[in-house]
Amino acid sequence: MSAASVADFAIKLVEALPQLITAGVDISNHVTQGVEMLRNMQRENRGPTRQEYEALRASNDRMHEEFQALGREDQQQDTGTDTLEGGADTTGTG
Amino acid sequence: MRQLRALSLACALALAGCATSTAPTGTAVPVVTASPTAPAFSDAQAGQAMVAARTGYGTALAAATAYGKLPTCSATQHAPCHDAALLRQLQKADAVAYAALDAADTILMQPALGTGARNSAVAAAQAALAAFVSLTGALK
Repeated sequence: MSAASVADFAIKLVEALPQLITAGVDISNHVTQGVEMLRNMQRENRGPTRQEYEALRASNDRMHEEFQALGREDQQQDTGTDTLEGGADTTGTG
Repeated sequence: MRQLRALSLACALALAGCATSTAPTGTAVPVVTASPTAPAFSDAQAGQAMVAARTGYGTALAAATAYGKLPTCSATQHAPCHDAALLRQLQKADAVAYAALDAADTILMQPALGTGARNSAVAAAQAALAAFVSLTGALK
């Protein structure tokens, strides 16, 4: 590996760091909140309240839509013939 | 990304399983009101399992989204980048997991369907989630 390619990789890695750090924080927040919620419920011998569960579900919905939108952007960059199989509207309201 | 993947994989799998192993035995809590503080589900243990599953799902989604936001790999764009085909696979698995979680919610909100139906719905959601999470193992 040449010095130039190492430098190129380092620059790209540094450029990507902010979003990787953001993702790390997101992951940490999800785990912390989930564990805290579960501990409370188990201590109190109960399931989630509607408010708790709807908040978690809304967070899932928002992230799911964001992730699926990334796919649509990628497909538009492709030939335009590849569709997302099984990816029909999954935004249910249940 | 590899560290993120390892972290999310471990956390998501741990969370998906913890409610079923440590939760107290199912406690039926009658749903009598739509108040925000009312139980979301009549079965406390199933509710806890769903919280664990949805937390794990969110964790895996955060890692997958971070991967998808990297530039697309190409002849001129090398790592860190995302593989377009792998991203599509992740999206399909995400769609399946999302639908399974949604279906489980619907079934759990109908106490008349009984414990067997609730357990099956939760198990199906956990299986779909596990498939999605395991796919994040291909991220690098």
